Amino acid sequence: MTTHRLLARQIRQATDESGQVDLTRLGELVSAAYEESDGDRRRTDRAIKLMIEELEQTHKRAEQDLLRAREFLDSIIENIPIAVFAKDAKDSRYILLNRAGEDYYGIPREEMLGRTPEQIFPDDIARVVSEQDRRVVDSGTPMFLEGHVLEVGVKGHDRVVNSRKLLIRDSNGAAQYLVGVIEDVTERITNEARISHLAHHDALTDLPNRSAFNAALDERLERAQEASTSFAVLSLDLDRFKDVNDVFGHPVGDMMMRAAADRLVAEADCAFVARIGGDEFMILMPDDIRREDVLSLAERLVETIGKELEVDDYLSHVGLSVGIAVYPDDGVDAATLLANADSALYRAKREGRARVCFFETAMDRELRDRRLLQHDLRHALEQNQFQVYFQPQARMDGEIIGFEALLRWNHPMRGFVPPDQFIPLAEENGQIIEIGEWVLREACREAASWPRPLQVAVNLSPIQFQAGDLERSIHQILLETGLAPMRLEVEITEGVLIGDFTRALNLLRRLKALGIRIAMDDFGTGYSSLSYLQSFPFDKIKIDRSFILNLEATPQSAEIVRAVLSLAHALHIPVVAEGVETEAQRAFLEREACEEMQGYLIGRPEPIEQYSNLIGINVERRRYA
Amino acid sequence: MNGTELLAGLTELLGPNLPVTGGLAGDGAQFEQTLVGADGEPLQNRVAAVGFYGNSFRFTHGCAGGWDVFGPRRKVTKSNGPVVEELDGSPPLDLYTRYLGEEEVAAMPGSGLAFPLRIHDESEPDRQIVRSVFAVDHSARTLTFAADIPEGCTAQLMRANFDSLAAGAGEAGRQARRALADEIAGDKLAILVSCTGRRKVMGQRTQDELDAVAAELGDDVTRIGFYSYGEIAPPVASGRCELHNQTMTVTMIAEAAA
Repeated sequence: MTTHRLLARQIRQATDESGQVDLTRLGELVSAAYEESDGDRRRTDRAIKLMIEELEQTHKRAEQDLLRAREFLDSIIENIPIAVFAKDAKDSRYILLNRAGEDYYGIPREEMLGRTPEQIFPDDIARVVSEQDRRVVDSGTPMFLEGHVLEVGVKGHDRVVNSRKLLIRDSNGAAQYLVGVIEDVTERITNEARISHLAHHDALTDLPNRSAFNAALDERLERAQEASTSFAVLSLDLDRFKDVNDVFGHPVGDMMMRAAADRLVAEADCAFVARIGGDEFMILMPDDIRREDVLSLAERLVETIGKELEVDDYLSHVGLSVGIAVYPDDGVDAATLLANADSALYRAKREGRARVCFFETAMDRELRDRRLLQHDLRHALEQNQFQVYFQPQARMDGEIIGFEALLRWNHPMRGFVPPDQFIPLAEENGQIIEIGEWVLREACREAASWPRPLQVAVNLSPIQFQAGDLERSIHQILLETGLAPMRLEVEITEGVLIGDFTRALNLLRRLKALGIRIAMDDFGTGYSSLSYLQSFPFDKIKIDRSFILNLEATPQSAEIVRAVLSLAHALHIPVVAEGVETEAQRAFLEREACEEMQGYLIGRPEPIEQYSNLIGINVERRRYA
Repeated sequence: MNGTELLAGLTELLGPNLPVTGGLAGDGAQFEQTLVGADGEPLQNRVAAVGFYGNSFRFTHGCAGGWDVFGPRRKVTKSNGPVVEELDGSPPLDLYTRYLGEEEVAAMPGSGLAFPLRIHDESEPDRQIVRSVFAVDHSARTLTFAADIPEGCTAQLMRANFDSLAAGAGEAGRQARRALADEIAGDKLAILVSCTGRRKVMGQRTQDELDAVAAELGDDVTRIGFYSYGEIAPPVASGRCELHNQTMTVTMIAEAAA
């Protein structure tokens, strides 16, 4: 038996020099060694036990973490609003299906999991599904089917889906799972269709819009060029539609617009009708229609729109003007055809509305000329091309009481441009505000310089009422020129009152408060609504020249003049007759107790120098002063 | 006393290529005061160093522990220099209390020497660092180690038995002896620096580790040494001087024939 080396060492330590073993000492050493061993064993046991506990806890924590991660992923897959499934790659047995998947197939997952397509679906569908599965597994390429109708389940038939299938391999590269997702895109596709429809249609009438029309025209041009066919483009504009909106308000206006569009579509039948702007439409006629047939359709359109429109007990009359351009005679490209249809339309409107005009080359010239004039007009004021002429106004006995200031444009190349040509142009681009202010200032300055305190009348455009600060500007001009307010008379037409009636009325009241006088111009034409006379105390009514000119020719004119005069007298409003040219006219008006007159009989519009004597300047003195 | 700082100071002056071996003085496992003598009365707060040079001078060293890791890896979630404040979010003293039992914890830090920590720093994955407890704060329940323990590194408890420690010491002796390439006939000296912790664990078996070193070095080597609170030697792999805990460090000095 070999002695343990520790015991050998202990015996050595307990042995004295003589070789005597001290048993007590040895006992102590052995006992201490046992203690040490016991301590070491206890520590070791304890460490092992704790280590096992700790490792178990760590393991449990790891398991819980894993479980939580799994629950997290499961809840995402379960709640994702896209059908998700997984199958065994070998036999297409379903091994996972989420809630959206159950909804799609209309089958609870208990009836799908663990089963093959053949055990779940009817034969024909199972065959398709299995074939797709085999294809994905064999090729390893994902399958993507876009926008197809779901082939199975309760939600099929009317639902459109995007579906994908892809293969998942294990770590050795062997086919393991087939994962599929099926996304319901029915709403998206419906939305896309609606957006696309909105992009190409007018929201109010649901007719094709401008961009759809342009596309259709381009397509038509291409086809016509290839097939050598001809076709007509119609440009349509509803006359006086703005008045409908102004009078009845936009909700009614919208209904009227829809009714008008419906009539156009019904009448135009097989043509392409588009609404391209507020009250503008375009029509593309079918190929190779004869001119007279195009014309007769256009006339039918004018007729049908001309009939009274009735919407919700509101009655309205609108008209239709039509301009026609024909491919290839009037243009071979879209821009030319459209421009020429527009210039035909412009002429139709100018010729009195509710008309149909074919494009003619002369029209093209007219339109260009009009643009040129508008261009020149922009510089007319700064280049001092405007002048103010004055036409005298008198009592029936011939006594001069004042002048109407009238704007004249002396164009350096064209000479005098008629006001009815350039005033509408100035109104179109808003220049009338600046020009009108200039006229007012010139007229007031001139009148203020007259020795005799005669009246001066100035015309105001409806545009001046709508924009700019008319009240402040008139007040400023009166202060500047020093003209007494009561010597100034402004003439307005009923156009001022159509539109925002309340605003116009307030402005008139404020103008009147400045001390100036307000006259109603061109009375008897237009609507001549008697309510205007009731709503505002006009200082004067001017009977339109057309009635005076026809006094002798048509008995109706005399009756109208008589009626206006008696109406005005009943309201205690003095009347001025315009366009008095003959003594007979004057005599008639005097008999009917008309208060004042204006016309060639008294004097034409002239530079004020021509009327020096009337304003109280001695001609000789002025000439030599 | 922060051993890492001491070593950093030495290396800064001597440069990285001059090997330094030795150890920090110990006082049994009292952790009260340590003394160093150099040309006079032993005193506290002292460093003694002896330099050798010459063509025939030979110098080798070996360093090994014999400890094994056990239990889960733990994260140093909070530390401040050598003070570990949290392991896996809990005070480190709680861990030692569990492993040592209430009775032995009272004898900390001495009793803590039975369970050093293996430190694994992600930024230096090859460095094998073993640290043992040098001080305890019972109120804060923190532990202070012999050198810095960076926050975020991993710590794992280590343990040993009498035989593995003796085998570790033998390994250190073998390394030193083998490094002495040529056979030298003259006198050879081995300086053995062993950690106090080892002696604490081994008790009467301490002689076993000395016997193991002696068996590896052979009869012709004179052995001297002391028990330390930290051993200084370049590990075989890196060559850079390192502070170790819980190792046997053997330094051999010899003179070859002129």
